[in-house]
Amino acid sequence: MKTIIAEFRECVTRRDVWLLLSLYDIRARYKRTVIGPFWLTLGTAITVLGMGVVWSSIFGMNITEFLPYVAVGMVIWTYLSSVLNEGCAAFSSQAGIIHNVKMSYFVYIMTLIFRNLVILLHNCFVIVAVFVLCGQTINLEVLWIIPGLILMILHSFWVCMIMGIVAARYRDIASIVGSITVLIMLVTPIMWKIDMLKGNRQLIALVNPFAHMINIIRDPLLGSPPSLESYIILTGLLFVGFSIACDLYRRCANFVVYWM
Amino acid sequence: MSKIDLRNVHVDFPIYNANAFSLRHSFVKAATGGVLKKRTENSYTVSALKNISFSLEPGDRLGLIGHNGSGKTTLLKLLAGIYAPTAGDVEVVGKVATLFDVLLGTFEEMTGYENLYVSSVLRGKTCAQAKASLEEMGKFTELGDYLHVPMRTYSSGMRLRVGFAVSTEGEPDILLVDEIFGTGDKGFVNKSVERLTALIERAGIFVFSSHSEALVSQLCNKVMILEHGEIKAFGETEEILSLYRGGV
Repeated sequence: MKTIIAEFRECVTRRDVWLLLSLYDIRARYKRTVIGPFWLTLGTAITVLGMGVVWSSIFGMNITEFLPYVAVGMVIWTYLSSVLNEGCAAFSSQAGIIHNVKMSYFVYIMTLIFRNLVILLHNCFVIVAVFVLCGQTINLEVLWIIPGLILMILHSFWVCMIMGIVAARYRDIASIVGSITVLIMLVTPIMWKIDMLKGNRQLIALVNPFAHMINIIRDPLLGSPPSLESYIILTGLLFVGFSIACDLYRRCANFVVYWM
Repeated sequence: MSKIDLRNVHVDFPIYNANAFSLRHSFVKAATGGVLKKRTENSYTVSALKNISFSLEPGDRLGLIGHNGSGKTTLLKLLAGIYAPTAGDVEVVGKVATLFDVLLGTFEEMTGYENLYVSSVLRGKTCAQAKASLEEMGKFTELGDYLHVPMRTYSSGMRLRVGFAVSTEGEPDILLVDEIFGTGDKGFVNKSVERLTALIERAGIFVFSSHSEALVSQLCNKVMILEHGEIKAFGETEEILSLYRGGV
């Protein structure tokens, strides 16, 4: 436990490393493109618009009501699915650095999270545009997204700790996660609403942590307070997740370098 | 104050490979490398370092020599804290700087300057400190305007210059350098050796792995011969190098 706290501290003192690495990652990825990282914004915008038009018609819903719902859900989901998938390569993608410099692995996790937060920020333009176009207003409940985002970042951290270690050792994990990502998206209320599910099938959304994660940020953005139930479930999961992650990290972190 | 102290250190690599079984015999018989042991149906352990004990004090300049795969790089990475020992104790006191594989950890699309900047942050500087030393490092590389060009266009010799400039910046207590001079031109090797010598004089301990006896005898006052992950010989440079020439 002591070493893990020391590593968290190292992660804070060496913040220059992960701030710089994540920005360089994004810059390197979009070097020589004309609109740079706004390709991400454009991609998200096209997806949201396409889904909004089709699914609002399928469900017979008003598009100005449905589009903001899809936009927020999709932007958060993009972040969550990227963290989940990139988390599998959290350490192995940094093998070049890990083999050359001694640093806490938490620095690489923060690199991943911060990079995806920057991308999330780019995608927020889609939310703003959709809200303006659809006349969606925000109220004071919007302040709830602050604890929501903090909770989201904390969850990202333990997920990356576990996925980074397990997927470095078992190379099939990344492919498995990749192939179930679409399934998770389909069973998570992003393109549909929970109350569209009949009877006890609503359980699907209730046991799905991704649904709660999206809820606690989407609800306040759309003007209603987040549900207490989501907060309770996510806080509980946070403790369970971090306990497992820290235990795994304590036992395996020294070997990760040998697996790459 | 710098210090390196290793007591009965072992490093075993696990190698996971579904098809490892068929390769076993050819591997075991190989003349070079560590010793492979079968672990389970499809995993192996390489004993990369076995029972290594030695210590170094400030002023020590150690040259590591031995076959490819004899454990030189593993030992350097162990000293850098990148590998953890499987058994035994490793005590390394002091600020460590490393120069291992210059091709790793670079951003190919970014310019030489940008890579100098990010590398020095990776090696422990803050962004402000890195910015301040950028010009000095750039000057050392002698790459001039090439530093404004993406890294992917660089030759391995140019990469070496960038890597060398970054890792020898600052005042490390312990400097670890892996066989790297292969791709440098003569002028740059001489200049690097000069810079290394100056660094070594200021800093405490220098560990250098090389196949070049000339460089080792020029830079080092102690030599260690590694074979199959074990210390074959360790002592004063001249004595050990003559043993080495004699075919130990």
